[in-house]
Amino acid sequence: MASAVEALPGARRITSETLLGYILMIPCVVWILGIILYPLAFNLWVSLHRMSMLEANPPFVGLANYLAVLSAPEFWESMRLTCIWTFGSLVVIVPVGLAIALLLNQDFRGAKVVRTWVLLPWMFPVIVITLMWRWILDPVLGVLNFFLVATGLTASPIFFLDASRAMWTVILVNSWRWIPFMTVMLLAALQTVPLEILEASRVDGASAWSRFRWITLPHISPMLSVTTFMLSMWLFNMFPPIWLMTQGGPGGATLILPVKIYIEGFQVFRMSSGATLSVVLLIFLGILMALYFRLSGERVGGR
Amino acid sequence: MTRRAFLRGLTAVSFGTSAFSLLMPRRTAAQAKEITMWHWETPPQRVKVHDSIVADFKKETGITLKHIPINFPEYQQRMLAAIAAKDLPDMIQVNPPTFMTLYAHQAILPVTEIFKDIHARVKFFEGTYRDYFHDNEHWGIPVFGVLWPLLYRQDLYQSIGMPNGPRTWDDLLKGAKELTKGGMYGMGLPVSTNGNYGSQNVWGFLRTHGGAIVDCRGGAEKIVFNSPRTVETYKFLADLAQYSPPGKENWAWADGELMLKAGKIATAVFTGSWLREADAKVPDLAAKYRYAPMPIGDKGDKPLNSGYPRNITVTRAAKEKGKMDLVKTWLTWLTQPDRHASYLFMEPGLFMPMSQASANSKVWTEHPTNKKYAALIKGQVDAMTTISTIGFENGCRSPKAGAYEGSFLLGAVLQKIVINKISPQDAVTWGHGEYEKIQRS
Repeated sequence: MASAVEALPGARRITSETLLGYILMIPCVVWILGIILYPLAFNLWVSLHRMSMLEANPPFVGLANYLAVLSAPEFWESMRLTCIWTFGSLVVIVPVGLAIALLLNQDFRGAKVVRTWVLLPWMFPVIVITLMWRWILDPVLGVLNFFLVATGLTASPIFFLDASRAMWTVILVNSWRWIPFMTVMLLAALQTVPLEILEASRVDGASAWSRFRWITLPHISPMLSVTTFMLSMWLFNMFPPIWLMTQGGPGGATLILPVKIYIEGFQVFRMSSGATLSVVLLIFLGILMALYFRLSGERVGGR
Repeated sequence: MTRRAFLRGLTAVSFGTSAFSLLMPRRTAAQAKEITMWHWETPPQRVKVHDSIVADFKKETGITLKHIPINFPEYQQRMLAAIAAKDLPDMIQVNPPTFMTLYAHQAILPVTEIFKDIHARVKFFEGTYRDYFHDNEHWGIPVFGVLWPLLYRQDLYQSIGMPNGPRTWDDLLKGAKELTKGGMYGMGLPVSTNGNYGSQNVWGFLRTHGGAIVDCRGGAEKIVFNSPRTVETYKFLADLAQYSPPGKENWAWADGELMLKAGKIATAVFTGSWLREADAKVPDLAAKYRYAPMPIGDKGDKPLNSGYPRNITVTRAAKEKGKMDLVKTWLTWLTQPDRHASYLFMEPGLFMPMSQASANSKVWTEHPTNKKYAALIKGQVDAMTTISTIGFENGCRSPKAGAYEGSFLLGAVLQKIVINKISPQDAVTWGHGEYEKIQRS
């Protein structure tokens, strides 16, 4: 066999080492097929059938589920809320994370301790953070409202999770958790900015803003853009904070797509509708990802 | 040893182990006297009681019962996955909607003979098995009830001349209004879709006033949500919501419980789940609460409350594996009154007996919590006869009961009225349409 392979011009010789390599890859391939490709394919299959909790053999309905989902105003409202959630969170997390990273990049006493402690909100499990904030913000028993009323800052308690404020409240709570992540990533990038260039520009009389705009920012922009992109993908898909705080309420005020998918699939048991929404979300994120890679590729190519 | 030899050895061991585990006999002699049961009593103290009960069962009968606690939100999915994989346990603890899912998949067997045998001895309350009687067969053995009657602060209601609590909607509205003052709220009414808290509250009032979601008396299941009785109920609840604390729009069960334990609400529709901790932390406050039947809207109403009679169903797997005798032994053993009563104390104050025999047993009546809060416990036991479950009204055994309940639409309709300021009639019309969508899906 080996000699036959050798006889073919250009064919790679299969040695026992490469064979062993293939064998060792099998568990990994099976793992990927089992936990990524199979669920993905099954999800696609469900989206093309009418499946609830009860049918053992759900009928094939083609693209009917997609037409139903895309023509429903509730879907577009959920999409709008998901965009507000994602971009609202980015608007808070990125600038605040950058500002804190710039502060922590300075040399001061105790800098190392502060750099460690700043990570704390990110180290707590999400369930602890969100439930803690729910109690803090409670209008009757919460400590924040107690403080606001006791100090006269407000005449009566504020209901932070009512329909008009719920989205911004969950954005702020979630940002509080994710700002440290952005800070640490950007701090790592800031530490790679060459000090001699900054020093030289200072000697040449460049202002702090000019130094940031023309030296620091270009150095950290690859990290900034990758982290922002990754974060936007995660936020678009994020389920736990909103589920734990409001479950999409009150009155649908925070019903972002991942929460809607869960409700459709696992509370109302419209599995097909949930699966269809998942595929739509996947396609949407795929387009965003392709756009990002195209733009970042062009930028790198243009340099 | 070279790297290559090490990797080869490791590969050989992995394949060898996998092959051995695949080829080894599937059933050992010990497994022949082993049965399995799923339930969703996952809190540690409840698992501990299960452990202790099954240890006693093993000691007395030599049969091993493996009980598997599964979180309720995953329960339906796990059941469906097990049905698809033909890997069901021998018994599954269910509420009426989960029973219908198993029934629709033909995953369970009727247990009429076992039921009759036990019923002759213990006399189950009718409310505990009614929902599981279908196609002239019994499909479950009652184990306990969880229910939500009206809970009120007797001291406060006494101060406004209603020592027995509110008995009518007018009483409740008047009481809620008068007791809302100085940081206290007359009613704890969740206007929420955060879990089933909001919907279960609406359900008790709705059923008492004669409203319903489905009707099967004409044969096929019809959605009958949009009715004058439903609209009247929502008008009343929207009025009542004024006297409920801010934040009610997001309440889950834990929020209601916290309000009770903080002494912030005078009235609530609630289970007995709060009692264990309240007894430990605020016993004086806990002693001030009483249960009452659901208040009525007019003379034609009959008090009915939300609740779930929990049953154990037996799967086809038990029969296929030849374990029906073991299953019968367990069910008969567990339902003996004293033993059953001790099983209920996995959560004192919450799980109610499913038979008169258990309710009369010494273990039940002499338990310190039950003695101390006798009025509270009696109120719940009395309410066992007035349980009503979503999707099981008007002669229905709806296969979509789980979806009707899980949609939390009853709470969502109330939100439309209270938060979005939509008229009760329009909100109910919207809810009716949503129920029809679920029915068709």
